[in-house]
Amino acid sequence: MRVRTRQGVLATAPPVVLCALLALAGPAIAAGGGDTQAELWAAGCAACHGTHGASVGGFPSLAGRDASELLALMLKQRAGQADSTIMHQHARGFSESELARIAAVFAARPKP
Amino acid sequence: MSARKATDPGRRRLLLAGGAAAAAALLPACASRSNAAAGRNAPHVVVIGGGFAGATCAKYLRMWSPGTRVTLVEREPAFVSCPLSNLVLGGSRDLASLTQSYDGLARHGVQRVTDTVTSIDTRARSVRLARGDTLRYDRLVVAPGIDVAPEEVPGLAAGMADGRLLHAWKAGPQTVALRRQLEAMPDGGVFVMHIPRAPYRCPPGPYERACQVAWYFRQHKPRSRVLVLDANDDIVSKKGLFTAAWNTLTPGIVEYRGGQELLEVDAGRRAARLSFGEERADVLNVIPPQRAGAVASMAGLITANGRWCGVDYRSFESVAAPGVHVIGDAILAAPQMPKSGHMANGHAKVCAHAIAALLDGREPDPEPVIGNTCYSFVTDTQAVHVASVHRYNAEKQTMLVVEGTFGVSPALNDREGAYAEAWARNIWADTLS
Repeated sequence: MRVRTRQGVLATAPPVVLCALLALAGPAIAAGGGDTQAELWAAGCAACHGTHGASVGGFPSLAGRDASELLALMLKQRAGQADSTIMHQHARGFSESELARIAAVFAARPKP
Repeated sequence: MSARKATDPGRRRLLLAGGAAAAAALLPACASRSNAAAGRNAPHVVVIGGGFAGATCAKYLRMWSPGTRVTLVEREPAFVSCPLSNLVLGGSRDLASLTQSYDGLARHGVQRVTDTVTSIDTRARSVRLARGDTLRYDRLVVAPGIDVAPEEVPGLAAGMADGRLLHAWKAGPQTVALRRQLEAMPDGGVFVMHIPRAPYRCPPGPYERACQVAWYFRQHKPRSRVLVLDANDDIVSKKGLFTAAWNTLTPGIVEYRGGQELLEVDAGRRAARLSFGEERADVLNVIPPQRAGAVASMAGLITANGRWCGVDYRSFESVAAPGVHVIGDAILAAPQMPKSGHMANGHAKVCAHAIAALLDGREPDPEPVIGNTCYSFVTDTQAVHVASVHRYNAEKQTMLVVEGTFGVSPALNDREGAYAEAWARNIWADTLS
């Protein structure tokens, strides 16, 4: 099997190896378990909470935290039951299931 | 260009190249996170402009599409943050504290070129630089920010050209020079500021500036005044909070007048002629009308009111030129989407995510979400916020504010100043390192 490029054939590889390689190609964008849409949502949080949820200070890091803990926090904020200045507004931008997927992305990251 | 996307040869070429991108992403050398590892045949994305939009896009593109070569073209050697730059006018920060290195982007494998773009050929897919190099691209990201348009107000361009009138609407030497004018002003003087019609960069910025100058006057020149002349009928952003700040934190210093069309400026007399008479200033600060940065018109990307670039918000691809994306303050924003650094950082991620998908032969996210947060400092330590979340609506083909997300601080408070500082540190790092 061949890998085609705009230049033509780049390389040949045994089909099994290539399939395995292509199966791995996803993680470039899918470090959060393949949920690329949630990866993009989570990237929005990075403006305040740091790239990949690793804060440089002043706001809590989200990376490597328990998914159910993060979800519970965001749901509390969303409901206006947390002592937040701004997070209730951002949490309301997403449904409960979307927040769960965002929490899963951060939970899968290594702790900073 | 009228070529339909399905038949656009550039796009077809890129879909084919997607296989190479995927393969290149798997090469062991890729672990070095360098452009070289992406391979000679890797797709090449050129990003023009290293502000909140362009720098973020270059970084996230390398993170999400490691098989893609990314070149960032920026004319300035360092990044200077517009957010927080009004604090330089207030006297509590200096420009060095707002200046950040671009070196962190190299760790992500972004190749940086310090040069000025002189022309763009969207058919040949090439960008020409002042020093003579030509960059060929598979996709182009244009993030030029705003240009000021002083020629729209008689007398303004001449006053700006000889340095007597400063806009200081791009953080840098003008910010420092305007601070010097304020320092040189005798107590009892008047600082007159004119605000152009929206949309302009940073909707709450002019009112924050009025707070900062008033705070400086209150500490050091208590007999001085701030006169805010606004072409808009009323305060554009955080009205209740700014009014409260002027009334309680710096009482008697700020006077606000809405509906003030600026007809002419006389830099020599420091006078502003308005539809209802003339105002003389000791320090005159006209924030000029604005439009997308010059690079956007070079590439034929301006589609709205001769000023802004229309885009498809799902990918930030230009509606005028396939294969070219526009992000940041230069775009025609959907209603209630401010021209802010936070928004630009969000545009950049949606755009990088979409380009990574397109280069990989996949469709972009059909329903992107972008949040906004803008803090304004009302003193040297106190800040207030406005925030919202915007989601793409397929039926209306635009970004709409998600219900329940738009809002401002309930009152002036002592908590958010620290958050505003933390916001800046984190978004600078997210953009640049």
